[in-house]
Amino acid sequence: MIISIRSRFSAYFRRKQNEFEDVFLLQEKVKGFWGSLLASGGSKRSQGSLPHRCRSMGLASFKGKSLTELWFLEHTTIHAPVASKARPRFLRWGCDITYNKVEASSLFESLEDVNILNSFEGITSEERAYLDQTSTSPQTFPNLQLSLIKPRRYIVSSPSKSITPPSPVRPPSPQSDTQAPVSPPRPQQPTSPNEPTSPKHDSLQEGINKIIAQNKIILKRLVQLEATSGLLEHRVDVIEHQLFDQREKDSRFEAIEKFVSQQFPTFKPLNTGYQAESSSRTVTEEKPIEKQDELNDAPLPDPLPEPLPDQSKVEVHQEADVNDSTCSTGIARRVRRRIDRKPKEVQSPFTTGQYKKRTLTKKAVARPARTATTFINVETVKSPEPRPAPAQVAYPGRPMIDENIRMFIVDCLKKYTDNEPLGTARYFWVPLGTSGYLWVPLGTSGYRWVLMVIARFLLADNLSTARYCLVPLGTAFFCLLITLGIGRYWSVLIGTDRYRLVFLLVDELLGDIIYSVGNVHIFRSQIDELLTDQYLDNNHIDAFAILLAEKSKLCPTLYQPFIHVSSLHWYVSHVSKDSVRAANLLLMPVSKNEHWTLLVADLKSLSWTFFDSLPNPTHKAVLPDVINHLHEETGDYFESDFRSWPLTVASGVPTQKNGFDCEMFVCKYMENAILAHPLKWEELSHWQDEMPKFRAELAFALLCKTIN
Amino acid sequence: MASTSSEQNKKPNEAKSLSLKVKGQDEVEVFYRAKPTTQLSKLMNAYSNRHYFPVAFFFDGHQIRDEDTPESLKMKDGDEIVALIHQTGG
Repeated sequence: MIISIRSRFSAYFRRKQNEFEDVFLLQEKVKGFWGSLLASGGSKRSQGSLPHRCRSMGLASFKGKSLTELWFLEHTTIHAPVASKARPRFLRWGCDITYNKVEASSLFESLEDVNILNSFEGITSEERAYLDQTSTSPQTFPNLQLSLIKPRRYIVSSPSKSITPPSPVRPPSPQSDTQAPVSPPRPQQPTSPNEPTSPKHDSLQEGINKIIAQNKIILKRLVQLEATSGLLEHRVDVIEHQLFDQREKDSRFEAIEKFVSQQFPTFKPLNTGYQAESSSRTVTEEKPIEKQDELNDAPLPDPLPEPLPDQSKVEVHQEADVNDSTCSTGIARRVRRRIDRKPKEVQSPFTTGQYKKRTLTKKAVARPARTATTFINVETVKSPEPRPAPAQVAYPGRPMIDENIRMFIVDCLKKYTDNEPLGTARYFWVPLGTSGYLWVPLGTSGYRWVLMVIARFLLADNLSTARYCLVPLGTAFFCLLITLGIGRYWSVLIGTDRYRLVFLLVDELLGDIIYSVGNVHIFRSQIDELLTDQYLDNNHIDAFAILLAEKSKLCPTLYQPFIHVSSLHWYVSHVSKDSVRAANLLLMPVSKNEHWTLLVADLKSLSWTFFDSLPNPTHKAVLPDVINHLHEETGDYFESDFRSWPLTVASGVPTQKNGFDCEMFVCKYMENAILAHPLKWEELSHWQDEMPKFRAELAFALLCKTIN
Repeated sequence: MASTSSEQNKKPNEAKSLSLKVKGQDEVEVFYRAKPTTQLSKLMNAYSNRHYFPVAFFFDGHQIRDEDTPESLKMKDGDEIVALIHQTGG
């Protein structure tokens, strides 16, 4: 599983924006994204070089397939990560990471800047062309001055910061060398060949040039994003303002209605007042069109004010969806829905009459002038052609989501948010593949677990390809895993740990077997076991060993070759004379009396090491049997009789403090033991705290296997 | 187990029925007769009902799945199936 972290935010927006039906949703997304980026940029914490920030909201795509888009958006103003180590590890899987440096004690920090910068080279050629075009010709990008008006701090600070990082401290990753020729087009090669500078100097200069070139792309992109984001923020502000007004009005109407209905029980609410108001609204909305009739020659500012009411409409409509259950009276419901009547009113002959037109021309001059200042630019940036107003969003096919499942999700969310781990407000966006997305605000301030599932992605058409989405959240390890596909959602699983919020919406198409390699089959129930702190079985450990083997093949310099003997010791057919000669280590997980331990043979120093996460001398008792059995099966392949090798119990290893994590400890022992330069066990005493994360990582890795 | 064996003993004269040996981790061997087209899930259920713990069955280095038949696995008369106990722990 190789995940390349790519940041293609702007290109993504541009490509997707035509697919977004609801402008409001896009804006929310942009707002969340910029909230996080700007907050982390403007925060006084000195952490967060530019790549760090980009990474923290990494937009990852799986290799070769863009089926799955990962997107992580969050308020970072409120949130400070509990531990940077607790960042989800799948950002790191497959990267060239060395654990064996003291500096790498914080594992997430060990992502080199080179990795990130290289990932920028992963942008497609058309994206690059677009970038160059926008940066060289600002007239195609009329809002550039916005970004110039309010320059952000990081634009200035980022180059100096990110020049420093190519850290010579850690061993040079092989990637940095191999990917150097793929680096973005350098402006010029300043080191002329006839210069008598030393080659050392040359390479240094070259490296600096490369970094500068890379930073240019980042800068261009940031400027570009600045411009769009500023405008979108404006938009969002206006929408919020409108929404606020709307809410106030609603509450006032409700109060009036309640009062009236209390005073006069026979009171039958009439819609006339509201209709009058809405009709007047529609008139104002229509003004630009009418004006367009009159001023045919003038350049049209008309598409601009129009999307605005649509957005507010969408937004308020969703609010109404959410709040519908709370408002009991018919009037209140009608008040909330009166927005929906707008499009109908537009077509009424009354509003198109000559009289109205004439009387309203005066106002029509003033209104667009007000809105145009804020919105003209937005539209020209956002899309070349005005978006047709979605008059009525009809949802054919099945309903948005099964009400039972929805209620279940909401209940689960409530359970979590009430339990304080989500104490800081945050929300995240989940764009799902082509046109679906899910908006999940979490936390206590204001939102209080609202889950909105947007109907778009649940339409059968868009579900033709099953896909997953996994969203990591900041503080510890949260992930949201959503499997989409045709058919029903089979199970919804939510992890029970406070550090984890895992949804598994496992689709019917996925089948029961999540992961299958050779004799190792991971069933859906075993993923559940993994995520709910239950005992694990030999399939998990074998699967982990297979993943480890794959990982070690990716960077053979960092790992020692090893042989894994499954705890089903009957099958050692992969052990042969050659494999024994090639390997340094022999890993044997041992299960006895529902406890997992690890027996490691060092084939070079001819010794056994025994790892026990629950130190107890009785756990050693089974070892002679295991070794004898192994000798019966494979004794011929070894040069010396390993039954006589000395056996030591590893001391100082991290141990478990509960009764169910021993297999994960065994897995982690294996992972550390096969490193070419293993970490000292004393430095790993934090493992117990991170066990939920490790479990989730394993589950993620297993599920990702099925993605690829 | 008893039911299945008696059921299959009804047709002992069928030339096609195979005799399969299931060998446990304790070296105890149990014999079953099965037609080549019988799903091996039947055999596995019979064995694990007797032993009261989850068992994984291997034949020729591959785990046997429910839908496999002796025919699909190209089993011959007298072949040995290994039954291994699923190990869990924590």
